[in-house]
Amino acid sequence: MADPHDNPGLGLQKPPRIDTHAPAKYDATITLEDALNTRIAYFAIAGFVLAALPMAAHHSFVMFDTTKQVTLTGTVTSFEWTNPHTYIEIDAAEEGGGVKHWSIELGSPSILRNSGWNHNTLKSGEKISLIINPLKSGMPGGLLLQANLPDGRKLGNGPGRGPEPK
Amino acid sequence: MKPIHSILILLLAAFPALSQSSAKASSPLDLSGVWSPAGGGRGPGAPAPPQIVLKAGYKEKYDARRAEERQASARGEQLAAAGLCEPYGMPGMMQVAIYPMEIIQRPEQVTIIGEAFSEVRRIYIGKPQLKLDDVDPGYYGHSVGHWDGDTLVADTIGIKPSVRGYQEIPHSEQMHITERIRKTGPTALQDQITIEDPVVLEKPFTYTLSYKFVPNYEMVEFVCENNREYVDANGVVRLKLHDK
Repeated sequence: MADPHDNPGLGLQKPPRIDTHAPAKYDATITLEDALNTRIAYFAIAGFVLAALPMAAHHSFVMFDTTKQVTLTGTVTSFEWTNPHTYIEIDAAEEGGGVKHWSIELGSPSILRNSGWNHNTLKSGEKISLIINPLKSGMPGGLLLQANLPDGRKLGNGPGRGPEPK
Repeated sequence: MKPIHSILILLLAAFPALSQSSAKASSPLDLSGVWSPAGGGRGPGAPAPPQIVLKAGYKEKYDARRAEERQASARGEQLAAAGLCEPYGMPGMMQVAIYPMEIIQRPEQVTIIGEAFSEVRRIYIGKPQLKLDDVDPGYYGHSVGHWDGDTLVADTIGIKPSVRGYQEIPHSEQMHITERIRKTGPTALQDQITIEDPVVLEKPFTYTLSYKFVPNYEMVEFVCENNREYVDANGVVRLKLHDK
């Protein structure tokens, strides 16, 4: 599964990867393509060689387990179309009965508008299913990968991440 | 009035509109419009990576902070780089992920609005730069500019040290930013940014940002009102969950 850091559509950039032993090329021009690749920078400091240059991280996915996917099926309780992130609040069915409330994070409205979302896409009371990367802490929160809407549409979390709108 | 005068007046009235729409889009001296980050990349002709050399004392702190971040990351935690709704300021606002920026150009002032966090900076054309003491330290500082042929050269001082530096590189209040902004084609823009800081850097470094013109784009509002992420007592970013 693609590393969500690789998706600039979420308005995120890669966390630092430090290699103090091997010099590497760094392309200072941050581009869509560049964001898809690991980049470490070349430093020469007072005779000492190299530290990695981190991407300036406004936001990182570190708190989400990007190796895990969880599917939540249930009822939207609220859809917060806000900056810096949009949130879907959902009461999701638990295995073995009962319901658990989850908070799911999406990109900003500007980013999401490029992949089929708008402020009316979800309403309280609608039944949906969401595929998410859960929080590493085990608390009921996560990062959206894909939303399966009541009208059959499948939306991702920004350009290049998940299904593209038809 | 003679008929010929009426015709001339009509022609003169029509002409500016006609000439503007065709001339504007391709004029190298008109930077106005919406531009989104693009281009650069690797391969032949790609700009050289900047060589950044920190002075003694700053290098150690920089490395120590990166090490802390790595350790936190290994625990599944992100250390907060700055306030979570905090705008980037200069030079960071000149490229925030894939968010576009809008350039509004008047002969005496170029105004740049970054869509992310609705950041605004103003470059005063033809005005002299102020003395550092006369500039309130802030996120955007004070910028003056002049045209050098087809290049807008901008000079910025007065960015306060707490404002995030390029790629988290630390800077002092003496950081001085020089930009050479020019169109490299009718729909391509480049900003070559040089950072000097006699306190923190052994020598200045330069990096280049590239943009492509985005026609007919209406900038989206961005007010950081719903920051569900917060920084706990240990400087770790947490997500605020709701009960319902």
